[in-house]
Amino acid sequence: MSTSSSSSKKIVLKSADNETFEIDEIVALESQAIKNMIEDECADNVIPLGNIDSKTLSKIIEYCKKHAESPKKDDNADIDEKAVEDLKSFDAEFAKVDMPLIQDILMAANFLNIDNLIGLMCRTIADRIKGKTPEEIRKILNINKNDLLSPEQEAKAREENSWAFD
Amino acid sequence: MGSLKRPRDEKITSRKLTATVTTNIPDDVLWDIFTRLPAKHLARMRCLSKPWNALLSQPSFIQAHLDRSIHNNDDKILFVFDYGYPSNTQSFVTHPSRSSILRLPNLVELPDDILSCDLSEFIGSVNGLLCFSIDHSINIWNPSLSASTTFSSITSGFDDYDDYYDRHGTVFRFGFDPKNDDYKVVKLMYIHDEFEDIVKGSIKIEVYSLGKRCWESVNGFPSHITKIYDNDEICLDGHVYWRCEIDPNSLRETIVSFDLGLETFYEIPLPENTQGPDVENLLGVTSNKLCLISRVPYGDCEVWVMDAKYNGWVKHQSFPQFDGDIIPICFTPNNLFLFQVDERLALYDPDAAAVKLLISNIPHDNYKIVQYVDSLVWVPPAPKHVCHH
Repeated sequence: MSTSSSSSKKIVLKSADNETFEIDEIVALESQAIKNMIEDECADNVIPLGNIDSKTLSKIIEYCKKHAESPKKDDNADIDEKAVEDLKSFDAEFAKVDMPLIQDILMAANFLNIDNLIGLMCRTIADRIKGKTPEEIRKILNINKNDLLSPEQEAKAREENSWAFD
Repeated sequence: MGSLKRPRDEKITSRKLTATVTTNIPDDVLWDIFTRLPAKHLARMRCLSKPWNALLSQPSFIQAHLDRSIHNNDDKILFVFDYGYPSNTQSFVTHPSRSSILRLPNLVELPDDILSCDLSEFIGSVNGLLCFSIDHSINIWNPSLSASTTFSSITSGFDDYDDYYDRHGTVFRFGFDPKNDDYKVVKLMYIHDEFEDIVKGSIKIEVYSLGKRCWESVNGFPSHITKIYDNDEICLDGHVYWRCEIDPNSLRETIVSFDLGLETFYEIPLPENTQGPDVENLLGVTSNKLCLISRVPYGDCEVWVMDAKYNGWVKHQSFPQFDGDIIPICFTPNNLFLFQVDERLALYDPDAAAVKLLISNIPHDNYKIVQYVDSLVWVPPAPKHVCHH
């Protein structure tokens, strides 16, 4: 295929719960993973995403649409600052969702390799963790019980980091 | 059907992503999230789970966290240390887009042994660690972790100057040795002339390794040095520096550099234009390069930068006349020029050609300004065996 005709070409994404989303190829190209697939000519008309549910996928498409429409930094040296501000406030609004959805978006963005979105979600999670107690963080990030330190290991770790508990 | 391949990390593709993804954030993503958190927070989180403890204690994670901390463009925090009165230490936060400096009253909690001592001298800072000399000991402090460690600064060389009122000088330096992944304190001792501070006799050097936890003598400091200045506390690429005089008549200066890894000395001559009785020089770092800030009182202020391969000095910029006589202090990591003018601190932005920020009521010039870097770096505890000289 040639990328010059990509603006009009459509791609269909299919979520884990079998919902289909038809989007412009240019929007799908925000995902480095899909871009690679298309360049390797191994993308069919319908791309199944068996690990992303429709709620998460529609959020991701919303993000990719907005970012695909916005002028890229390398397009024009003096993009007007309004566009930059506009994208910033879009990102801020976009991240105002609950923690489980943020983590689902992060996992999906990681899988689809959308760098900006990974960064945005990581920043959001970091901001929400800041100032929380370790126990609250344990809940927020839902740590696997098998990974918990034994009481002896925890005591040792606390001793090694004792200065952090003043 | 085409299959989706994640190019960066094969492990992720092999991992089954199901509805339980929320319990299973991959390590590389957790890594990214965690590098954005404050050091003290991370130290506490080490006690939460096995994988986290392993991840957050890795040297590569500590380095990644430090790199993000140094290079982020958010608020920069400056400590203003008062030499004579450590309890007067203040901290300020500067922000590139704001036009003023905010005072942070409760940020600095100096360790008790620094606070309780009348004479504490700032020796240097690197990777978020700050080093002080207090009486006859050295204190290394990580303010982000509220961790500090102390060791004696009395060495065999010091004992030669047994009369306290003898005219001896001691100059300390503190730096990071990347070759051996070690932090070191360098102690320079000499006898000097009572009136002119002219060096008499040989100069002794001892190096303390935080890894080995002991002092060791090093030879080879250039013998023609006649005076040593104390105010160029910088560490760059595993080197520390002393600005020295080599001729008491012409007041010609040179720089003696010490490689912390190889423990060898070499000299860096200064540009001809920066020599003379009317010129006042100061070493600094800008854009990760060694620089010399050279000024004539009430006159021009020039900045010379050493090229990356240490081949020679290049005149980098010349600052306009400011309103009043300035005392250069340093460059901030985002390359703003910090200086004192009268009783104020000011930041000059060379790109915008504007003085951006001011702190007033700096009572005197007996202080040091240090950039705060949030850092998980900590020095290993003392080994059990005793070090032999």
